[in-house]
Amino acid sequence: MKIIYHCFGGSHSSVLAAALHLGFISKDKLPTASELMALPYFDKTNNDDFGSIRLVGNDEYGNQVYVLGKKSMGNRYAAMLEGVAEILGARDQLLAVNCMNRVNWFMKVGGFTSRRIGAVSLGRPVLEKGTQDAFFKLVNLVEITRFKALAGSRV
Amino acid sequence: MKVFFIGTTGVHHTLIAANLYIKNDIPRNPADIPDFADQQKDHYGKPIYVGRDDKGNDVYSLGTGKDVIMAKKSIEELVAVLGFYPHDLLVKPIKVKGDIFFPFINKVSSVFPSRSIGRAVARYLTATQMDSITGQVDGFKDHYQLH
Repeated sequence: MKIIYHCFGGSHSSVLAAALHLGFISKDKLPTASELMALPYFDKTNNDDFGSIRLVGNDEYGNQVYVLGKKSMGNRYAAMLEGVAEILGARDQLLAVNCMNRVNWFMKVGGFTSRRIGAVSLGRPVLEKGTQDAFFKLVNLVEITRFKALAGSRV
Repeated sequence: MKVFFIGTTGVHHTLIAANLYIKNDIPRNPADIPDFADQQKDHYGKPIYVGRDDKGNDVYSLGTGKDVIMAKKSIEELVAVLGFYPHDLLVKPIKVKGDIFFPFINKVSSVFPSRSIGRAVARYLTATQMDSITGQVDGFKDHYQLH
């Protein structure tokens, strides 16, 4: 199964969710700023990455985990991807997971300042605080997704 | 093979393009095309099946919102991620003047349901954008030799 975590920029919440899914980071304790920055793609994307489906890794069940930045397209983007998969006869192969409902304002403002404005030193501390605040909500989302993937692969 | 015509909405200019591609002809009034200006169909964000061309390819219209090129990129990458070849699904963005307002028009239609809004868009497209849409469809056919 292909699991695509998507958020505004494909740079923060989706990357953290993918990292949690793959066990790159412990789900039991808040990550430090340096642990976050060590994650692949975390706060490192640019405008060319919007719309790009980037592989992060394979989980222990062989599912491929991706991240995607879809700007402010909301759930419409997931419907579009699932619709395409359905037409190709691969609907059961795709799980598109929207991370935006677990994102807080600190993440939005910090991420925007760091990635869109380019003021990294200003945005990153705000982003890190927001990411830590949202951490366990993202853990919850990943747990639900892993369960869905497991259930889906058994159907 | 599947053919997707994508644009800011899936029920206006892209629907005309998909019908032109299949039939080389559309009703005199585009508002008579099935699903034209049907904001509910567009709201879901799923591809709308339009028909089959004379080579047996299924043709769809899809509204992607304002960033059509980003959506094209995602769809094409998804095709590869799912293990298909690029020619299994061709994506043609259709661009017309004013199409950035069509999603907003759909939202207005959802609040104030009226066929006259759809007819007004159809009149605008017929009067000013039909040559552009026809040219884009013909260019697509030429590029992939789909005549």
